[in-house]
Amino acid sequence: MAAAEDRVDPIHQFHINDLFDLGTFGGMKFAFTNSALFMFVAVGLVFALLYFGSSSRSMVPGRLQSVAEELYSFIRNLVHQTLGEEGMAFFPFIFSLFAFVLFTNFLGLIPYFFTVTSQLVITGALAVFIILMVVVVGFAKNGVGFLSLFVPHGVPGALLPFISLIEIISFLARPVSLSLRLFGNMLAGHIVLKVFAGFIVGLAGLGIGGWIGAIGPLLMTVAITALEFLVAALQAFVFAVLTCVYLKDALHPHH
Amino acid sequence: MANTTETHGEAAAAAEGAAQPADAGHATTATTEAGHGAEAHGAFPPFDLTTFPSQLLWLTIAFGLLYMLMSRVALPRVGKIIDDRNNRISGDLAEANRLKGESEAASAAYEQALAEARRNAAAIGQKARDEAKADADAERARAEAEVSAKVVQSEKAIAASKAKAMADVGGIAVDAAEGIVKSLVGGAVSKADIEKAVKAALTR
Amino acid sequence: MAREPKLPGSADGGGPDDGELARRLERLSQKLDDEKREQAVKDAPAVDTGNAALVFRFASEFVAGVLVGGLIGWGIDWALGTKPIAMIVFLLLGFAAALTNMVRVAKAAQAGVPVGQDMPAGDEDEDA
Repeated sequence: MAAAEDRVDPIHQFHINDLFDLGTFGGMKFAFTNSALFMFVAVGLVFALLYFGSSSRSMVPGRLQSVAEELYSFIRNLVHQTLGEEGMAFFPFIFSLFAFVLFTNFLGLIPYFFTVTSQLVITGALAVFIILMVVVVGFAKNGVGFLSLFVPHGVPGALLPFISLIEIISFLARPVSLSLRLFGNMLAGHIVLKVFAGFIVGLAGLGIGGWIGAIGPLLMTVAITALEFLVAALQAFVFAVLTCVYLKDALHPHH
Repeated sequence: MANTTETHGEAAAAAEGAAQPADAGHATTATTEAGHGAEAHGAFPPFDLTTFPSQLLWLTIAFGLLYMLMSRVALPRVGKIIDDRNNRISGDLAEANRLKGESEAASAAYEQALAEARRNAAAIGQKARDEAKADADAERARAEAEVSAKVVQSEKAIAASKAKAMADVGGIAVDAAEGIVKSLVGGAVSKADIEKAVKAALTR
Repeated sequence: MAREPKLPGSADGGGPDDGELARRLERLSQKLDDEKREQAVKDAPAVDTGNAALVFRFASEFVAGVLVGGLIGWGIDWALGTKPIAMIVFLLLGFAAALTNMVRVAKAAQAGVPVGQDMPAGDEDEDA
């Protein structure tokens, strides 16, 4: 009874379930959750793909190897084009970021699987980490020159502090906006999917007429699922690209 | 919820609240429906603050692990394969270019050898022709010499015969003239006179 | 004289092989070049995000700007004990920053810049 209710509830899928408790530290509750489980599943899948995709080391790649190499070259070229040779140090990070987002997005599209990226705290944490990294890299590479990023030229002196503050907020807001978009896309997509899937279940429960009526939502669900796959890949790609562009500002604040 | 693995001083508190994880004093929302624990919150799950620490903890661990695996193990492996292939391709291309140069050189050498052979053949032919011609010339010269020698001999023989004939003719003519003169004139003319007269008539 | 025409004939017989090899080599390098160029094209993927995505982008830029501004303000208030003042000021600044970012996004979208090359920080017209 409760299970049937849960299936129709489009919000239920985002619940964090504790798989086993770790207790509380400093007033904060820690537990190994379904979210954590799927993070590790994604990490395991990424590693398995790259590891077994490169285990045969053949000159003419097999299917798995092609996927691994394609993924590798794709991100490598992205980083190389955006950041140049000196930016290749960030290639593992960008690749991890892309692969993590991509695989958690895809995993979430499988029924009954949890979508890690539909959690605001996850995408937000990624954004905060990116900001911190960019700020650290920016100061490490350019020293105080990094601040020139926030001083647009041709601004009268009286307005400058004002404009600079706006520029700083604008700069900090970029990854936040990025993570909001990832979160929003995943959340909205999954809610829509669940709502249509709920229609199918509800209509099918009405008997023969309902079965026929359920065809419409079923087709919609299939179409939306296809769209969601596209969105999942696109969001992972955008996440990687904008992180690269963001990093570029840290490496070359003035040009 | 069965296993609350604890090592810290808070073990007692955790054990006490094992049935109800809501002992997190600061999370006031969690106490509203303590019976079900985190699942029964009224809040929209992605905004449920009580789940944040766990998620952040595991995100850090999972992403850190991913980064380590990628940067230390997986990416160098894949990168090495791709680099190897690129090297192999450029190596193969260079090899192909080298072979092409080699084959061109071989073809040039072949052409040269061919031309030389042709030249040699022409020379040999010319020589053979020259030799044949020389042979033929010598043969002809010999034949001609032979023939002319025979001709000369024949001419000589003819001349001799002619001379002999002439001499015979002279004798016959003298005898005839002697007879004629004897019968006409009656033997008064000497033989020497007749001979002289015949000779004069013959040479005229 | 009779064998003269035969010799150039056999030389020609070697010719096509050589020409064939050269042609094949040419084809191979051509193919490799094409591959390289294709790769370069593939590496700069232009993703067409539709109008809905643009609207979504505006919304996220707006929320992000205001959120970051508000958070900074809240932090300053918390540190200095000036309860609502910094919060209000930075919410307004955040709003301004959000508008700045939205204008930049709009400009990039208008110029048809693919995702990833948009949103340069600092001055808008710096790249290219």
